[in-house]
Amino acid sequence: MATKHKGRAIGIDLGTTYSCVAAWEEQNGRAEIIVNDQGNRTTPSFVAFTDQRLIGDAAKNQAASNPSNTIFDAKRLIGRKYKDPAIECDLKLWPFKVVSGADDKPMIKVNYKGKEKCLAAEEISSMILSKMKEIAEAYLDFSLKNAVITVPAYFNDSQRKATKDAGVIAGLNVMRIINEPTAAALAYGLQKRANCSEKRNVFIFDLGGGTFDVSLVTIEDGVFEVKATAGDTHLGGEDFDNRMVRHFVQEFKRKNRVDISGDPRALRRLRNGCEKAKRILSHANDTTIEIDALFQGIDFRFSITRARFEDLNRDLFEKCMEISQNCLDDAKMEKREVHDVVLVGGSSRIPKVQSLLEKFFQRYNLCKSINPDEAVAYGAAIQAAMLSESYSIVPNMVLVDVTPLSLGIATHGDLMGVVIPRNTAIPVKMDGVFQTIEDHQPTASFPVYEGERTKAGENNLLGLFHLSGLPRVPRGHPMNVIFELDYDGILKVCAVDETTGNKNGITITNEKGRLSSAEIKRMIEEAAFFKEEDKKFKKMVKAKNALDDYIYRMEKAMKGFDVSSKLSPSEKETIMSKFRKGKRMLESEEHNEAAVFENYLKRLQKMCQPIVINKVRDYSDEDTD
Amino acid sequence: SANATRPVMRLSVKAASVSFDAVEADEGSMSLYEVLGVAVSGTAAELKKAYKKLARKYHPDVSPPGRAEEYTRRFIRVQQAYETLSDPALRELYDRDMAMAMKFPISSRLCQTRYRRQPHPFRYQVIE
Repeated sequence: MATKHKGRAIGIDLGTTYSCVAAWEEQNGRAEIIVNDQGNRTTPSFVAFTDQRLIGDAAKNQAASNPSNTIFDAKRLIGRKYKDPAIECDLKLWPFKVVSGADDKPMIKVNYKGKEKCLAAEEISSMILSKMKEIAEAYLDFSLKNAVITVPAYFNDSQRKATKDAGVIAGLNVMRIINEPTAAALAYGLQKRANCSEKRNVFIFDLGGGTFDVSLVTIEDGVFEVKATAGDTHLGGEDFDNRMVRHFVQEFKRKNRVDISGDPRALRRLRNGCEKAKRILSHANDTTIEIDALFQGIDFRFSITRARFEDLNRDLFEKCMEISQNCLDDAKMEKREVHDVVLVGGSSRIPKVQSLLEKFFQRYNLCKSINPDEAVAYGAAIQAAMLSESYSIVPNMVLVDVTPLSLGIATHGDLMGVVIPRNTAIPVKMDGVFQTIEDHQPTASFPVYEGERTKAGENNLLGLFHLSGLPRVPRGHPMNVIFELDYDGILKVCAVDETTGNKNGITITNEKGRLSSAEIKRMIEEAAFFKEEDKKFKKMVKAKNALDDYIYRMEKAMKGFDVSSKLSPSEKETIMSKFRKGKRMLESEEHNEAAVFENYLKRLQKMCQPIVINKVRDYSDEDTD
Repeated sequence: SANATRPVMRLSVKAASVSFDAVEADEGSMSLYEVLGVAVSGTAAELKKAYKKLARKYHPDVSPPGRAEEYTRRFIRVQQAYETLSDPALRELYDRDMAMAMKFPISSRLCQTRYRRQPHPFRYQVIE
């Protein structure tokens, strides 16, 4: 429920390919995008495993040399089943291994420190979230817990809940999960329309790395009302890259008669090249991808024109326009009634997408004035500030969002009986009357589904409950089913038999495939383990560096005339042999405990102390570190 | 058989034209106009203004500590009232029903009704 949270709060845009974090800055009256340790305003949603764990830029930078242990696209897996047709194609393209776990939950196999580990998508996402948390903490100089995380508007219940779980594993208090286009609308409203009191119908077009969302939002008098939302949770920049990769694999095969599709390292390098080329094609008409010795020593050199790129993705671009039309239809709004068309997400920069959108709306003034990569995190930070009691100056606005998918009960013949239609404003309470189908039917089952398919079985099952003790009456006995959806997306369903007063219901929290509290606990422990390992690794690197540095300095000092004259040749030889041993230790992979190096350093320091104190004054104040 | 114990598919949807919302009795006696605080003769612009004001006031996000549930309930009512009264056809229907209710107090429950222009098609589907 919407009680205010104590402590400062951040907004996190957890993207398929890049993530971004922002915090509300009271004194400036706006949200601030927080730069990461590399000075970048967005962080790649990558996690890599070697003898250490890498997150963000560090993980993406080494992706080509470690393709099978560099994990990305976790957002495409989260809250889905292994058998989900939406990821069937991805499974073939990903260089890392995904297997089916308990309840058909996809599990990612990685090799960490020589041991095989199975990780859920929630765990990968939690690692990215904890990285974003660290970035914010470093900048704000403040320990944080509260966060608002964004998800694609078209995410279903299990995907939202899995995202929330990821937040919990990362040690965050997830105050709310909000929709990405809605967050972008908040950012747009605050940045561009703050002093505007008349009604604006704003169309948010959010084409990101992995997902596509559109929302129609009306802004008036500080009330942000989402009128309709539509989208595709599997349509974005990655798909455009995939098309290009597929195209070039074929071209390469035709030209060189070799197939690189089985080589993860080559594919990763090609994918990086394609991503770069795609970006270049947004402002150039053609570009050349050059990769030295891509496969079996053969260089890769192909050029691609913008027209060819557009042709490869034509159907995907057209799909975006179809979905946009559906959203307008749902909002019962004409194209000409839309005041602003706001572009969000990196892929909205593609010229073809913009020109199709201009044609669609018959206008040439698309709004590009907000940063498409940052708007979502910016909006999330605004919402976070509104939900936290630590801020006294927050924008005076409220947000009325809608449920993206219809909610209902499966009825006879597996038909979906919708109780809350999609695009209904939340919070909401609605009911429907259902009746028994058999004479003297003693019990009725209520399977609760979410989705737009007429056949209930093709929708997403949220839960099941029964109402028993029905009176012995002929069929057609009515029961009232009440659906209550609150602001955090928690659904309560209750069935009442009004003749007997019998009541039963469920709160949809823990459907099949979702993490149990025991699993979450285990994953939190695991996260702590990873964190501890990261810390150990850092400590070891530091200890190794200190030892290396000391040996280097002392060796240099030993060469000096002053020292040599004060030591006998045998003493000198002993010390030098100790240095050589130290160097061997540093080179070998045998030791990975910081203590080994620290102890050795101490021993060396003790041994060399007389020389240092008496002879090498220059170094004396440094040898204590 | 297994099917007998699982009457999952043994439900059908009744041909209900409107659905009722379970609202607390004391609040339930208010008319939709009273919920928004607008006169029955109020214009569309007045209704909208009242709705926006109340939406900002009763939005669960701005509720004082411990009163979120109450605010959510009020917010839902405001939302429902505006949904009905902002649609000219539904408003006309509601006005007519309200006039009837004045004459015949039996149907007093009408003031809790959520009116829908297009009920979902499945609502009407009766399966044997």
